[in-house]
Amino acid sequence: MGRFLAVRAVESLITLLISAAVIFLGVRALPGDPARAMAGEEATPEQLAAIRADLGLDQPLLVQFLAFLRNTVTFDLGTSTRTGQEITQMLAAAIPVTLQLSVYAIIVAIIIGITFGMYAERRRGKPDELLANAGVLLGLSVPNFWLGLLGILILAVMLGIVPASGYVPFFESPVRSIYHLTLPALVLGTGLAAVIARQTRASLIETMGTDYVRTARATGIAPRRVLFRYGLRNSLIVLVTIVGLQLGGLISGAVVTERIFALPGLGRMTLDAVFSRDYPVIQAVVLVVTFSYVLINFLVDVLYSVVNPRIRTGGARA
Amino acid sequence: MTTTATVTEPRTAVRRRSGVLTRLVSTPAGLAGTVLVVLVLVAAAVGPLLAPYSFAETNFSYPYQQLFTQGFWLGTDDLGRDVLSRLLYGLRASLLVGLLAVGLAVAVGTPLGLLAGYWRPADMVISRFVDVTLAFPFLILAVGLAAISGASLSNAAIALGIGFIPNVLRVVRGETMRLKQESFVKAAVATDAPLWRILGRHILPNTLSAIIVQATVILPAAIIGESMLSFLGLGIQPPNPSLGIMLSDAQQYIYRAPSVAVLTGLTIIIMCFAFNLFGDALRDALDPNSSKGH
Repeated sequence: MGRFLAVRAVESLITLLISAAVIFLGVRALPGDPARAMAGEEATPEQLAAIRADLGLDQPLLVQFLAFLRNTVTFDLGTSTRTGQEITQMLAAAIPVTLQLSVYAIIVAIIIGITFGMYAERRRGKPDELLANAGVLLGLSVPNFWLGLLGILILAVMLGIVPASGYVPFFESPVRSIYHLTLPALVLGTGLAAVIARQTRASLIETMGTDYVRTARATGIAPRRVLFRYGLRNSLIVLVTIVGLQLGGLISGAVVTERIFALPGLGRMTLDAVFSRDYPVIQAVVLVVTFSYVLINFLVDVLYSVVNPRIRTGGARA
Repeated sequence: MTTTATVTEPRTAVRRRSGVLTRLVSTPAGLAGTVLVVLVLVAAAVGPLLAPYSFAETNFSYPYQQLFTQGFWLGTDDLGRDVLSRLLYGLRASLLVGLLAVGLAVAVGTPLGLLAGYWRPADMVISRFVDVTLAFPFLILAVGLAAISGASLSNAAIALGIGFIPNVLRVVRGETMRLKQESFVKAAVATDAPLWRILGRHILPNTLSAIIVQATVILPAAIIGESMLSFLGLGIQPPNPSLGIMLSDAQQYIYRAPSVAVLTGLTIIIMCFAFNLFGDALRDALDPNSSKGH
């Protein structure tokens, strides 16, 4: 297990380095000359050269890249060209919103997904199996932001059950915070719930056919208990990996969910930055997203190897 | 000896596939999926011929028309544009982006998957590539591409296509690793066949069904992805039609004319449901040993 984790740690580091290089080169590919943008159109060549030297743009690419890495590691991400605000501060305000939304959505997705997956498994061979399967496929076919639009229209405007938008920080008022985020979390969680339901069904079918489950059944343990203690327990291990892998989709979904519900998270920060060509902010957001993806997936692997001692270096990742 | 093995194997694969169609339409879900997919493809292909109006034709005297209005069967939007016509054009654009994205993912993912599955040293490098790709969610890629060269249909397709490379790559890699152990591949290796021929002539034809299934699974996800990007302004740009743009517009006047948002969403759902249903049934039809009954 130690070896497995060491290999994964090295692999994750390599991934982080390559990702940083991709972002660094991507920023270089942006249109426009940053020195000219800062100096204005009437700048003399000497002024431009001075600004370039100041920004380190006259250095070799590798030196620039190392400086870029140093700034990233020390959270020196610069300032927004639109608002002049420190990007670190902007992130500190935005990340908790997205994090809370995502965690809430994952919890919602797991609850709905497992319930539905178990239901679909129990219906196997019965006429309404088709219905259960179609339900899962339907869940995969619905654009979540459309659900958001309809949710606002029906639940918030017509029925007035939940608020249409707004964000209350969790530590200010946990109850109101969760209340405000319920509809967004449901919306963001549907896609993931469908994936989890599908996986739960598949892995339940597999485990419920194994010898040890048959033995458990033969000893007279109640069917419900067999399902939970023996069947579901094994499915949960797979779940950890799925949530890790679906993280990318979840992040993309969070951006559009935040847009619909006017939540002041990373998504809104990203979109504001794109449409105002606020390049330092775009760079920072991309860095944060890719790095957290790699780190969370590394943590998932750590968790996975703790939960499942069978994991070894070979064949563990497919 | 080896030549017979190399020639017959792809043929059996082809013969197996011809029986697949019968098996595909023999289940209710498979039949429904196939019919829906054909309908969607036909609507996309001849949509502009069926559309009563152009997607951009405005009728300022008839904004927010109700459903089933004479002349505008699905109503009109805020600018009096015919919703039915816009849906037909939008469906076409969304499907185009989806197909381009799937094409890119298959074109890049297949050769890399073959190499990674066949040759261990390549696997090490390609796995890192996959990890890096996964670390950039398609929306973040689209944000980056939009920043570099502006939002557009092709940038949306590229972002989505790159995002789905790992899905194709994994499947092909897994199939290749399995096929590598088969005797007909070993026979080809024994005759000292060059790498490209082993991969291209012996392994690739046998991974095709897995690739096709994967493509039908990716396509609906790509279509939803496209609508998401266009909704956010990171994909197709108005006045060009796209289901995502229609939803984004419809959001502005959702209280006045909710039918536009509802219809646009239903169009996306029907499209994606069709391909999901079809893909699911196709997988079962191609692999009779999978899930059902076993």
